[in-house]
Amino acid sequence: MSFIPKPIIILCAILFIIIVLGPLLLILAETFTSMDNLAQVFLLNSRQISLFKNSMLVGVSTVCFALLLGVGYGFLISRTDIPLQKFFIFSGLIPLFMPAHITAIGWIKLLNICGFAGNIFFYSWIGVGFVLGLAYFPFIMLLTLTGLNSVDSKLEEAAALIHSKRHVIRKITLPLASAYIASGAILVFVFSLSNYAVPDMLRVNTYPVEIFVQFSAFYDTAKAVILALPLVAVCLLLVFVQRYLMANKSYISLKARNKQKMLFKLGKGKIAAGLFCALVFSLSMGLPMLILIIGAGNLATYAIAFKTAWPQIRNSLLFSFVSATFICLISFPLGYALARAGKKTRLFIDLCSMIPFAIPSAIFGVAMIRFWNRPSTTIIYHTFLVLVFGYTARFSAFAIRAISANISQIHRNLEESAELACQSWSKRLRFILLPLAWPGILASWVLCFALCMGELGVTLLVIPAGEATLPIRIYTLMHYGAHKLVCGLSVILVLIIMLPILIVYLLYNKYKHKLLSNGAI
Amino acid sequence: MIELRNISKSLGKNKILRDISFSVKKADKLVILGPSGSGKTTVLRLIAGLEILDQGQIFFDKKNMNNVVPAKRGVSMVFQDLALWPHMSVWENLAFCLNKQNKTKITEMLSAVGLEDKAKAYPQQLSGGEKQRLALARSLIFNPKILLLDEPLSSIDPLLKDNLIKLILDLQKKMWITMIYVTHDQAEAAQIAQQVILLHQGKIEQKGSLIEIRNNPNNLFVKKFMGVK
Repeated sequence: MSFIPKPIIILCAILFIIIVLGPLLLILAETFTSMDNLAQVFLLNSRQISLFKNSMLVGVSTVCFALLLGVGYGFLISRTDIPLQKFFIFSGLIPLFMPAHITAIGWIKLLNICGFAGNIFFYSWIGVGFVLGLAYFPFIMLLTLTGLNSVDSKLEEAAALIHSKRHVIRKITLPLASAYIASGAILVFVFSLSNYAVPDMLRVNTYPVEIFVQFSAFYDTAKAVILALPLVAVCLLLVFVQRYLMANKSYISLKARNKQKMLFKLGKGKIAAGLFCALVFSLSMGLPMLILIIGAGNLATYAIAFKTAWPQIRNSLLFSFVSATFICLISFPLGYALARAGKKTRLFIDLCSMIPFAIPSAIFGVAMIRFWNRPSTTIIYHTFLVLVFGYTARFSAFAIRAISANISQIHRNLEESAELACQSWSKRLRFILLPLAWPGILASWVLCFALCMGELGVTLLVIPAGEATLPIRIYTLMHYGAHKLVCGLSVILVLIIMLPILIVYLLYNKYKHKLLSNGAI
Repeated sequence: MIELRNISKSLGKNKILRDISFSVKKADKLVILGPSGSGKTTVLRLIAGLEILDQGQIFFDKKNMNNVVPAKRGVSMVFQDLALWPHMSVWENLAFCLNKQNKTKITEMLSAVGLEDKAKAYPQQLSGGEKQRLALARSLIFNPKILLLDEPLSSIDPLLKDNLIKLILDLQKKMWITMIYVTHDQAEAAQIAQQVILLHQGKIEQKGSLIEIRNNPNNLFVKKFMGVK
């Protein structure tokens, strides 16, 4: 813990508590000061039952669909001789950065083109599960890949002396990776329950949609919070189960196919496997993007989109840049502490940083308004700072975990030898820790930037007047029926998100060998 | 002089060290010998300040070091895995340890360990022996008062080992440094120092010269470990 002084870590922890947990604690306290409100929590009316049923159906269908795609995809790219493996790793990851509501817009347009506008199957929990499954399957793919990479090859080899490869994979490899797959399924379930935009677009009344209605239409904070409680309880429980499953395990391992691992020769099945991965990419990203590009028509649409929505594009870029930077600044010391501090501190940071995963974006939005909308904090509430704090509340948990995972991989002796040789913590930080940890910090920044660029749930509720972002503009235009502009702006949004990812991916490939050899990845 | 008084250390429920006391005179050499898991490395880490003591006191020149941070103890350590900073060149690995860039000092140290032509190379481009020499140079460049070596030669061949031991002893003598060397290899211990502490399950089983210990083992463990029939 000698690389970042304790006061800096404590300061970041205080900031995290104020920005992330403060608003949540406040609305909980406000809600339960009234006994009437407390009684309503236990009131099981038909509306509650219907919301619960809809949300669970959305969650289960999303998980089923994401598992179907993610496990197969992860297995194919990690344990088979599938062609174009590196391309498929990349193409399997990028849907992670595409906002789910843009995927939904693409699919809605496609159905309209095919003459299925308003199709009852699509405008139901099945459609929501389908779209969210396509948007979230990379989580399961990533964790399946990491799980398969983590299996000790000796265990498989020992079994391979007795059984066929197929049997070994079924009885040894997959069971050993099952904790990772289950953990991915839980994350997807929780994220799908918290999603506001897709159920809203497909007219399915889930908890986040109802919370938004209760707050924006009736300004009934207490009811919104009470409504969300069963959802939050389920999500918190699952998030802690996920934490238990992933205890001491790394979340990300993007190693290319390991020569030492047992490979499954596909033979003639190579083409089918390649087609499966290509199909998954097409459904999740390729096809919706193609439809949006076609929907936008010619270049003139983009010119008009740029001209009319430039303030929103600029706002999105500025807010996302500032938010991602701020998130990384406070997440780096906390991620470091999560990787290196004593048991109690680690547990505290771990538990605190798990909570945001379980909170729906609409609840965060309501909480931010209640917390910051007061005379003493006008400078925050009436400026884009409220958005920066909102994004920090939603996404800092991702950054803390990614940075912590990266720092855990840096051998402690490298820090200890610097600790003996150099008295200045800032010099140790600058010359030893930051050069070794920068891949994790950069990856976290890009992830947070992409998530902030696409964020809709919190933004819709807390956006200060005149500071609309690009997703808000797209969402508003959708309701006005400006189809061409919606398509054009959606394409622009995806391109802006993808640009830094592409740059980082190219840099990663260029310097991968150097990074691997100096222990940074 | 280094003095350890009644030090104890636990990790969770495991008692790693129990009531250890010993001292080493200035510019003297001491070998801590013992099987794997006996607590040898923990002793070094406590002296360096990388672990916090549960009990006992550590003195350097009669000054209590219990609350002194590692960087202010004047201690350097060669780790078992050498812990060379992979993103820095040989030159940068040495320069980082100095408060101000001192080209002459770095050049002298590189030549003392025979790495003058490898200044621009990165650790991963060095051979095993060269890495050991760089680790040694890095630990000596800031003139520490105490040098701790944690099985630094465990993974190299015997011929190279002899050369490196000679280099370590030469530099220790030239720089007048107090040295504590940890190993499980009796032959290596015999080459390094006369004074030996034999550690087992966190306790000192016997102190003295290797010959004394071999001739008069205190108990059955010492007898077995030293291979006395």
